[in-house]
Amino acid sequence: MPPSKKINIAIFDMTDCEGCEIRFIDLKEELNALLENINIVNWRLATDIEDPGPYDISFVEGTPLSHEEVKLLKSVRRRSKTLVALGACAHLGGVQAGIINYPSYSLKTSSKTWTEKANDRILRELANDRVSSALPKDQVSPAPLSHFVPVDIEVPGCPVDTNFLRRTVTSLIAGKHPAVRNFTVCMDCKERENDCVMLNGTLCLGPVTLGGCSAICVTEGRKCFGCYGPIKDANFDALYNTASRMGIKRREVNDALNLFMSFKRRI
Amino acid sequence: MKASKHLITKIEGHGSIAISLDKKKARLMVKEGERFFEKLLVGRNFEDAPFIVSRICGVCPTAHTIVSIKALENALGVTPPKKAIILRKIALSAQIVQSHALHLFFLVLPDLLKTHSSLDIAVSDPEIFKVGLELKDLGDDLLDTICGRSIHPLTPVVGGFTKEPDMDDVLAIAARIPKLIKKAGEAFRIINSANLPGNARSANYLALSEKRKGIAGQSKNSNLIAFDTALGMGERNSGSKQRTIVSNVNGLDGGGYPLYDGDIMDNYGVTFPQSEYGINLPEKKLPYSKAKTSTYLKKSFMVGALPRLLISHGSLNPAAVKLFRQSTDLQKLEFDAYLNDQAQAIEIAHYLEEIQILLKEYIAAGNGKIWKKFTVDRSANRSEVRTASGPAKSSASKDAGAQSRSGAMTGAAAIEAPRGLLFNRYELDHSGRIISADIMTPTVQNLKNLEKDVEHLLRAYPGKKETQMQRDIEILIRAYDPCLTCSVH
Repeated sequence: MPPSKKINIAIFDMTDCEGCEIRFIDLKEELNALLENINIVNWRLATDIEDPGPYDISFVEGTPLSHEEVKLLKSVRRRSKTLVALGACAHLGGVQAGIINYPSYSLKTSSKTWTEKANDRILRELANDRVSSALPKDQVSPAPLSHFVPVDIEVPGCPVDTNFLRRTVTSLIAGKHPAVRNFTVCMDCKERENDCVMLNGTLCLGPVTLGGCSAICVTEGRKCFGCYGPIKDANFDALYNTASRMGIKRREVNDALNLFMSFKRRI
Repeated sequence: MKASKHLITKIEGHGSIAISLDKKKARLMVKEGERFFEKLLVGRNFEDAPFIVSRICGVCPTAHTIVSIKALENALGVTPPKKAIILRKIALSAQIVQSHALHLFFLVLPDLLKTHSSLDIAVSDPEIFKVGLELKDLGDDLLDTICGRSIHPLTPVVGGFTKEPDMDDVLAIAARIPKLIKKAGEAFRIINSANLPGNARSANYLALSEKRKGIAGQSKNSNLIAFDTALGMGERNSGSKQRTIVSNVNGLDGGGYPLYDGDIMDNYGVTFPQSEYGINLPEKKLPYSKAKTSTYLKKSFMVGALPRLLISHGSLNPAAVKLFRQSTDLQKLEFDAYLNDQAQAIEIAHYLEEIQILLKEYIAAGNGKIWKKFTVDRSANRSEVRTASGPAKSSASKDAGAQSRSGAMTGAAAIEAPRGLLFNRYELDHSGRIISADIMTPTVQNLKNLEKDVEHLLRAYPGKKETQMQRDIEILIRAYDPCLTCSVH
């Protein structure tokens, strides 16, 4: 990459906690160094300038939960050479996707979008000193970005790991696709020399979850919650069987999987 | 007849403001998608709640986690060890420093330095940008060490912490505080010297107060009375720290500076307990927004840095007092939402010093436990099947307290999140599964007041050009530090 040509980067967020985009600021001084090679041309959290693109790389975090957001996502896809799904919400649907597995959940979706027309109506009413009209029902069932548009790269994690993000950004700047490491969190635990929490009777999703996170949750005295999503060919039956031998009911395993793997387990 | 709409950038979350210049009306339309957090929690084990509610907000996840834990402990009747409470207060203070730094340096400063983006400041004023990074870093590093991770904490659990932080690491990080307190002062001066339109008006506001003090004017009435912290500091009994009452213009004395304990106090000095927030601050759905809002005495109100400062400025730590004295605007003790930025800058200094004090307390507490063992009878949802290889469940679960058996348990709690009062309430069944959950975030409480402030601004400057007015309004909204992500949950 000749130094004269900077890479255009855009950062977009759908509905989510915004923790993953804050990870960009967590890159700290490196962000300054990166700014020599990249131009962050669109980032609602940092600037009020909207660059219509096209972008070399778009990072999109969050889950589209309204038709307006789906529309934005599709338009971002059209304007981006590379689209990166940033974090568990974009990659897996996030914790909010848990709602789709509730028996009582019936999504009151409607095809109505928050259109410019609806906006105009509210403005008109405001001008007449009267706001009464209800918001159009505009709810989309939570799902990963890849459910709506083709995604080139997925950065897993809730939140994304700063090191993982750094590696992804620098690889992309160098014109490479960061490799996916297909091993479970159990590998990370071995590396960190953690005691297996399953031996203490705690249900841990490590055996079915994609690793690469340095097993941070187990290391900090918890268990794996599965935020990197299921590993390819994950053996869920074995997890249920092991849990059953430990005296843990199927419902508890379902609850655990329903944190981050709701969408993947449903289809 | 004219109305216009603008997308607000540089705030957490998505929203637009609709303004009618003729009618002097404003409506903030929050457009975040609904994630149904309160619904997501139903049916789950209580242990999952702090982990899940943390995901409401990536800017203040520690606050969400800790208030959830506190409410669950109230429901279960668990009293965490003293050391755990000190650690939580350190974590909350670090969270406030980090969140305020993010807000002031990355979202507010571009307005004051008249650029479009904090990324421009990184290039044009790298020194100032660096101060912001260093402050945010300090908060992050403390949270990384104490909570395992700065975003979505891991070690805080019901009963305390899963892991004791490495005190050498913590103290090494804390050694950076004295220098940063000075730098926080520089940030305050930039904000203090900014030429913003005044927008003072009478409004209600609320914050935690560490001790009930009664109606205004009854207690101290002269300036500069030094008093011992032990007074009104709840469980804090070291009593070594001197606090100064700077001014008692409106006679309020909120006790210790708000953070973790105490009743909710309003701007008249009237208090109500944390658990009664539902009655006192009823929530209402707004027709034009995805967020709800709440009212106090049927009126809009504000929570956050400015209310905390107006109510408890008498309990600020020394370096923060110095900054407070430099602010002629704040000294008037009038409500003007634009001053929330200044209040945040003062709070950065205050909570930095608070972290130092709390660390001393933590060390003085010695080698005590940081997690209290407790049991909930899970017989209703645990399989009876136990194989020889499977580890036996804690037999202690058999003698769970009578309270746990007697049906539903309810608990509510409040803390001061960076943006203001944050409430959680849970109802659990006998086995610890969540029957219902209620979460009320600071921005939900502020939304209506924010609109009122914008309308006041529209009335106060009738002749102003529309473009200038839009700019002033955007700065005002940003001063509130609204987290629309939090407001729809």
